[in-house]
Amino acid sequence: MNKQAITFKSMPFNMKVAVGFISLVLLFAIAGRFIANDVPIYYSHKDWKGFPAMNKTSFLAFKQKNEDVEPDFQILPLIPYSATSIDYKHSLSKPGQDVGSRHLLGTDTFNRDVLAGIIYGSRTALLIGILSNILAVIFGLFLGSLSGYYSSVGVVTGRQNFIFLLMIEILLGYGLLYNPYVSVYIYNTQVRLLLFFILTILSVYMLLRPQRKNFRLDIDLLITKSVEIFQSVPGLLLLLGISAVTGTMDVVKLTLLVSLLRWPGITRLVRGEVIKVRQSQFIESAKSLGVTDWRVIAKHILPNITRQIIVAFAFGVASSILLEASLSFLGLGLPPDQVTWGMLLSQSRTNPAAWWLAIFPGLMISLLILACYTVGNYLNNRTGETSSKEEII
Amino acid sequence: MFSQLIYKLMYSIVVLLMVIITVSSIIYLAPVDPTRLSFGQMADAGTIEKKKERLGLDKPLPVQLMYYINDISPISIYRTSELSELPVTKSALSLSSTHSLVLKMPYLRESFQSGRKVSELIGEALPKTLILAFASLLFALLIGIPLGIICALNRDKMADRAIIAFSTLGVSLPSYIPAIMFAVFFGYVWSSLTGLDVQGSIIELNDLGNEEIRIRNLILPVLALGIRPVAMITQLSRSAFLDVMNQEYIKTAKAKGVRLVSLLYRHALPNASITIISASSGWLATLIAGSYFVESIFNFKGIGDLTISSLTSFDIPVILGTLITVCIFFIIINLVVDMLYTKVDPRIKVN
Repeated sequence: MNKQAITFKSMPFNMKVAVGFISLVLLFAIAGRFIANDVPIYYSHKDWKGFPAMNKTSFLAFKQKNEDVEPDFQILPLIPYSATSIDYKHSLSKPGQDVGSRHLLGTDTFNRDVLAGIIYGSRTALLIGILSNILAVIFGLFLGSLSGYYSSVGVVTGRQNFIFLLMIEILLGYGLLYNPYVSVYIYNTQVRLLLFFILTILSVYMLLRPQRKNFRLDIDLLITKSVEIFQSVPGLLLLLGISAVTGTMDVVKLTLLVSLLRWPGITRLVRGEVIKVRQSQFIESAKSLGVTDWRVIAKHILPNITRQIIVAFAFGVASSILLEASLSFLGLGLPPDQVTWGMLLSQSRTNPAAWWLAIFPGLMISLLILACYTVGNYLNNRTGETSSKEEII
Repeated sequence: MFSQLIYKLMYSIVVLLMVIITVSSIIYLAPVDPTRLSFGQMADAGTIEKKKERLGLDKPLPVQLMYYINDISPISIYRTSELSELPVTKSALSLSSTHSLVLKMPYLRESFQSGRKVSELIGEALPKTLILAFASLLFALLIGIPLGIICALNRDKMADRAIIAFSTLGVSLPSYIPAIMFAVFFGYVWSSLTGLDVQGSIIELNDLGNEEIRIRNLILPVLALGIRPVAMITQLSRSAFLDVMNQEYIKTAKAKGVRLVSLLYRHALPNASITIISASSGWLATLIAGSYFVESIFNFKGIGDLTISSLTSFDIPVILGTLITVCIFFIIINLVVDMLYTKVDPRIKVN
């Protein structure tokens, strides 16, 4: 493992391009509303002064009251449309059709600017791609290190602890998810799911608390088998099934769903890496010094597998973006008032004449995925021992 | 080997059961009323209650699950009075005065929407998807392996670089982007040159209302679905052939004066085929399961199209039925591949 710092100069050419493209998308995601918006960035008048792009509603209220007011000074954004602003004159207009209109990449079926849609859609793509992988990595690190660390011995615990855990899990699962009376009080399904996960993790922690230990629980078997079950279902099918029934989508729900598909792979990877590290000498010496299991995992094992996790993260972002785009493409993603790349692309299904709806969003999706792959490959080759790409994806 | 096969079969049945339980509990969790969807908003409460009772939707979830698993398992227990309503071939053995043990075909229930049997719907859709998947895999193998050989023979030259660049692009493209491009350009813009349509299934109704097979509707979906496998197989066969071509027995064969074609296909291909087989089997599974986009873009009425239409109309039996079918295919393909490994490479023992 070479500890040399990664600098922009030392990268190969394709990596530079990839990093450049990712930073461009990142710029779109962060500063999208300053690049493309239907209100000016800065507006100065004696009654109203400020940044309309930041607080749109108050600016629009001001505009409604006094319609033809000339500002003293204003900065207009580069593209005079936001993703949801509707241009009634131009439906499905070609890129650069009229010199007067500034639809550089044309408009879609809902008369919205495609370029603005692409800029605003990059936020959704990156947000879901990164957030879902952070969640999946947290979950995968927890389960994978548990399963890898206790893979040969199992968790030694009190029998009463285990029975307590089982009962709590069954009660929680039934009570929070299926009991109609509970669902009246906690109406939000997400909140119930979140509560379920938090209480599950808490009860797993309870399992490990020091008490009279007389029961050996093979936690590795449980985790690996559940991972196997998740991986034996075609992932997209599972995602489609769940997303169809969860009602109106929002970013949080979509992130949860995508991370549901990502955790088995990461758990498996972490388990393998933890097993590799666990056999080294320094772990044994740490254990013989009397360091607790949690501390060994957190302080001695995890720092040694960060590189592999970062690589898996880079590949994971690519596949999460792909999943999100696929879902919106099928119309099961975010609602149509939130513009995403997949949704723009899916409009070209019904309008084969509108080639610009197929090419530009498609290009963005594939280029971003390609860039993530390139970064992942680069980091993977730097770690020295290359793990196969199939395994990570 | 036979006992291993039996063990794996039993294990996969357990996996299948877990999948059904997981997915159906998630699906039943949803705050949607399928009966309301099938009757519309104007239906009165009595009709809906009756339909719910008939579908078993008024019972708690675990009971519903038990009924469903009882329905789909070949060996099951039914009330004797209910037996005449079961629309599958069966033979019953009476256990007691009220219940009897039934040996039957798996009964996947009826669609909420159309009222047709799910097995019938799947039976119509599955052959089309299988034809599509096998055709695109064949296409991928026929194109991908020669490209990989060309790359391996011209290592680090212009041809190699170009092919690798294109295949990297092909791997990162999701299948629906080439599908849309093909549909737009070959099916619409240059339609007069290619003579192909944007949409169409392999079996279509002609003007007289008879079913006819149209092979040309298969061309664009196969091309679109095959791009990712082509790219993957090109890269894999390149690295596999590079490994093999450096071995001593290839040098011996070259020195003996074996022609290039027979050197490649007799001597090198069998040893290089192990990685290719493992990759292509994985691809077959994903092609069967993952042809949703291509099927829905080209309106190719296969399993993927059926799944998506049932998802949007919340047709629980059809969703579960297609899911189970696809999972069974996953499991079968994995089993066949395990067996195939030992045939191709006797060094690998089944474990």
